Amino acid sequence: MIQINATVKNSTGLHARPAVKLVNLCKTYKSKITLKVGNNFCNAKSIFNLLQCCIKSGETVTICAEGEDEAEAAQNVAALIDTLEE
Amino acid sequence: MKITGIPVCPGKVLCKTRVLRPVPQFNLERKTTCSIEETRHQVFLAISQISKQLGKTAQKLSEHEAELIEVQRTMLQEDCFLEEVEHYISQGYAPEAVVLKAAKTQENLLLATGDAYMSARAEDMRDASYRIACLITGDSYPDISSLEEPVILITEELLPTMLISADLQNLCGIIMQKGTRTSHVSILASSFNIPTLVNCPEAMRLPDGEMIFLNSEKGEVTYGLETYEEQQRQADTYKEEKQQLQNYCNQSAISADGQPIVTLANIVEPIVLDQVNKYGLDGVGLFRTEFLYMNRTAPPTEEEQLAIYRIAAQKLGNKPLTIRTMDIGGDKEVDYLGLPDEQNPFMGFRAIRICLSRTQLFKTQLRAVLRASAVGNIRVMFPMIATKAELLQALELLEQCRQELAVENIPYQPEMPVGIMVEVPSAAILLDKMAKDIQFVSIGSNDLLQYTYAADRLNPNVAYLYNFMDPAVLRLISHTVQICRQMRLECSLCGEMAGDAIGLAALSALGLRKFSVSPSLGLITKKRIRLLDLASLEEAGAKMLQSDTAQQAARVLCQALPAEYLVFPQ
Repeated sequence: MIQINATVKNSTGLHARPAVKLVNLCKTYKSKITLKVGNNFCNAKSIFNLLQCCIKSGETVTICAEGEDEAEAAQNVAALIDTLEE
Repeated sequence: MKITGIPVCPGKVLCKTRVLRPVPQFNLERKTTCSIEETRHQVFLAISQISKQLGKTAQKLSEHEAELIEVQRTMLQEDCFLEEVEHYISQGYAPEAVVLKAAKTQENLLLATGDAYMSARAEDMRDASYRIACLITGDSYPDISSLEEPVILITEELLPTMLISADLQNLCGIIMQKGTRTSHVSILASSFNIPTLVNCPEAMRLPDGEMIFLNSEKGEVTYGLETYEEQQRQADTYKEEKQQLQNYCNQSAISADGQPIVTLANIVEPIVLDQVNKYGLDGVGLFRTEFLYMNRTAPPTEEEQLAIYRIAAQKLGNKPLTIRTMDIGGDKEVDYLGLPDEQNPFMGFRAIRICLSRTQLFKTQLRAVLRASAVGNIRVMFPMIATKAELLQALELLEQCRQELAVENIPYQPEMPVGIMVEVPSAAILLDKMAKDIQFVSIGSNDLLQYTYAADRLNPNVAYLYNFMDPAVLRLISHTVQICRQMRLECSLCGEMAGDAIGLAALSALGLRKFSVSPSLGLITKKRIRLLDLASLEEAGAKMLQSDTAQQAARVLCQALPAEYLVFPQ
């Protein structure tokens, strides 16, 4: 398993539109990808799960990937979160 | 044949109708005798068809809107949704019930977050599921986001969200069976400049797909037309005038004698700021925030409000954004506040009166406004101030918020201007005593008239009293303008009076130089201002104040106006 941190910078947080991008990216990997925010966990391949987490601007997210392509998955998901803009 | 309604946005349109039927009431508990395979086939076929349809719609929209549709489509392909679907299929539910029940589970999870964005996504889920259900049962789903041809929309009611996402190019008019002039959707329709009638009891009798003539200046709809040359002529003239007004987008509001006038907009949604900018208006004189509190189950959080105020401020650049703290009560009800029913709501627990008693609710808003002031040219304004004590209490709460933010190290603009609405006559009378505590005043002519004459303007039996040319209210306005001049306060007016040709001239005659109007009236207001010779109007202003009656005051004013000012359409 691999863990990487990323910070959500866009002012409205990880709401619907960025969430779709994130889900679509995660679905391209075989690894199980979980986001950890504070004490909350969510399945990054589920839009519902991700939306319910209400990840806000400025929050730090830990990306946990587990599987054969975990390193690549975690790095690219972190990169996407880091570059999110409106 | 004619039917009538209450005009919201004036205009004349000859166009085909499009009757919007409400979403059918589905029975979520309906079971089917069909085989499970048969149900599964129907359900998945419908889901994939709607998903394709949404994809097609997305292609026609802007990137921003298309992304929201992508969210909807993603939700339909989601495993947890599809698992729910399988679950209800196996229990023998009818196909439409399967989809609606499965969607409902996801909606509730999203709603449980209590977050505005997520609630809107829950609505998207619900919207998609009803589209699927309608496809399964063969019902028509009410959708105006893409229209094939120009239409006048006939509907019982219309949600603001539907109007925001409507195909505005082809939406030429709206006739609503229900609704009031001051409802959110009415103000939006007016901001978009769509000729609109509300409270039209016979609206749903209008035939679908037939040419009708909507004259929302008169509040009339003519249908069953055999020929329509005359109506076509009127509609063409209206269209031409509207087109000509576009020339004023790049012109500034300078009076005929060279005095610059500030023309601001009244808004309810940041979305209309695109028009405010296009029309070359000078900023926002009134952002009505009560609508942020309506149609939901809990008040908007500080973060939600901050996001909206920031978006608005960003769209405006350096132009001012005057945020009026929420004016709930009167005709604006908000269930979750648990306010008691009142016999006389306009005289009751409303606006600042609620805010001063529910200070947490008020401070949440004040903090959001203060935080937004760090990034934009923001001003805050308190509605319904009646006494100096109320003003001081409101200012004290604002000061508390400033100190809290300072302690928390959150940036805000310490010099953010603070103002009040002058809409309760007592505030106009005692304005000199409040002036040193504030930086600006905005006269709310609608309520000021209503309270000065003790007359509900929507009550036809007393509507004759509601006349802004009556010398009593003119004196109150003049007094307010004079006090502001003496005490060096900015003074503007944000009521409907400024959007009326005679009203605008009267206010100019009384020395007012700053107006805030619905964005749809921005261009015509600039056009009017450019025709007015303000210096010569001042004399008429003095005579108006000495008149005995409204009729006399109007006569004095009209004599001082150039003939061309009075001929062009109101």
